Amino acid sequence: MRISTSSGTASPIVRQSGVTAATKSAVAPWRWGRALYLAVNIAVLIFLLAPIAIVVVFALNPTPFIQFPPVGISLR
Amino acid sequence: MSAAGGRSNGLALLVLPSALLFTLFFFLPIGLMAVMSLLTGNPVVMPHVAFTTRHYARIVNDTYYLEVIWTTIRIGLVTTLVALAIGYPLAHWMARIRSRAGHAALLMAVLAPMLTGIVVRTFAWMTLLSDKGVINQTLISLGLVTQPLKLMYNETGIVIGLVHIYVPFMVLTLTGVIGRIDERLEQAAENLGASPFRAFIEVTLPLSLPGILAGSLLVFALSISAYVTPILLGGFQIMTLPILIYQQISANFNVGFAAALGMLLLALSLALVLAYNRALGLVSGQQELQ
Repeated sequence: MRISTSSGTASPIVRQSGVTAATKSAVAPWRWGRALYLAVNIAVLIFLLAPIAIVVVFALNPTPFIQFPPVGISLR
Repeated sequence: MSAAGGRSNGLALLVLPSALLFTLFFFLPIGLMAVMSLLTGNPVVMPHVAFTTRHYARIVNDTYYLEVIWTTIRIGLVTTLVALAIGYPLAHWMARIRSRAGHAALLMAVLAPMLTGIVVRTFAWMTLLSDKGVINQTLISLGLVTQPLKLMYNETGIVIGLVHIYVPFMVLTLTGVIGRIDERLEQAAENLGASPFRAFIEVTLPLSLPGILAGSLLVFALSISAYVTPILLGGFQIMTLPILIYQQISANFNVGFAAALGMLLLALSLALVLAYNRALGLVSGQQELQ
C-alpha cells in the first residue's frame, strides 16, 4: 500500500478517490504525462509497422507501377 | 602429473574452442586486413609486394576521404540518438506492462520488422519517402505542402531507414535491463514525494545506463557498417565508408586501400566505444559520490 505525501503529489490512493480540487489539479499533469507516454509509444509502433503495411497494400496493387492512393485490388 | 597440472590442462581444453573461434573468425580476418592495408598490392595476384603506408597517407591527405569518414560517423551518431530516443519509451512500456498478452503483442510488433528482409523494408521506405510516395502525396492532397519534401536521396532518408532497421535492437537490449530494475524503487521514490517523471529521471534512467550503453554501441556499430540502406535511400548521393570500401574492391580492385579504410573504420569504432565507456564511467562515479 502507498501512502500520501506532504508535498502535494498525489499517491495512488488519493488518485483513486479524486475528491478534492487540489487532488484533481495534482493528478492532471500525471494524466497528461501518461497520455504523452502512450502517444509516443503508439507513434513508434506505427513507425515500426508502417513499412510492412505498405508492402502488404502494394502487393495487391493492380497497376504495373506503384500508385498512391491505390486504384484497386488485384491478385495478379 | 600433479593435481594443479591436471587442472590447468583441463582449463586449457575448456578455453581451446573459444580461442579457436576467436582466432579463426576475429583475429585472423582483422590481422589479414591490417597486413593488406600495409602492402603495395594484393599478394595473391602480385608476387613482389612491399610494405608501405601510402594507403593511410592517401586517406589523411585527401579531404574527400575525411568527409566520407565524418559523414559515416555523423549518420551513425544521429541514428543511434534517434533510435535511443524512440526506443527507450517503447522498451520501458514493454518492461513495465503487466498484461502477458500485451507484452506478447508489443514483442511481436517490435520483432515483426526484423522478420522482413532489409531490402524489402528499404523498398517499402522508398515507396513512403519518394517524391510521389505516400507521405508526400498525402501532405500535398491535404494542402500542407505545395512541393514534395526531400525525404530521399539525402541523409534524412538514410537515417529514417537505418533507425527503422535498428530500433528493435535498441528496444530488445533496453527491455532486458529495464525489466531487471526493481519497480519498488520507483514506488519508493514516489512515496518520498517524487513525481513519476522525477522518479524515472532519478531512479530508472541511471539504473538503465548499462542497457543504454549496450544498445547504443550495438546500433552505432551496425549503422556505420550498413551498406544496403545507404545505397538505396541515399542513391549514391551520400557516400559512406562501406560504400567506398565496396567501390574500391569491386570497381578499382584496390584491396590495400579498401583494407586501410576498413582498419580506419575499426579504429574509429573502438575509439568511440572507449570514449563512451569512459563517459559512462564518469557519470556512474559521480552518481556514487552523490
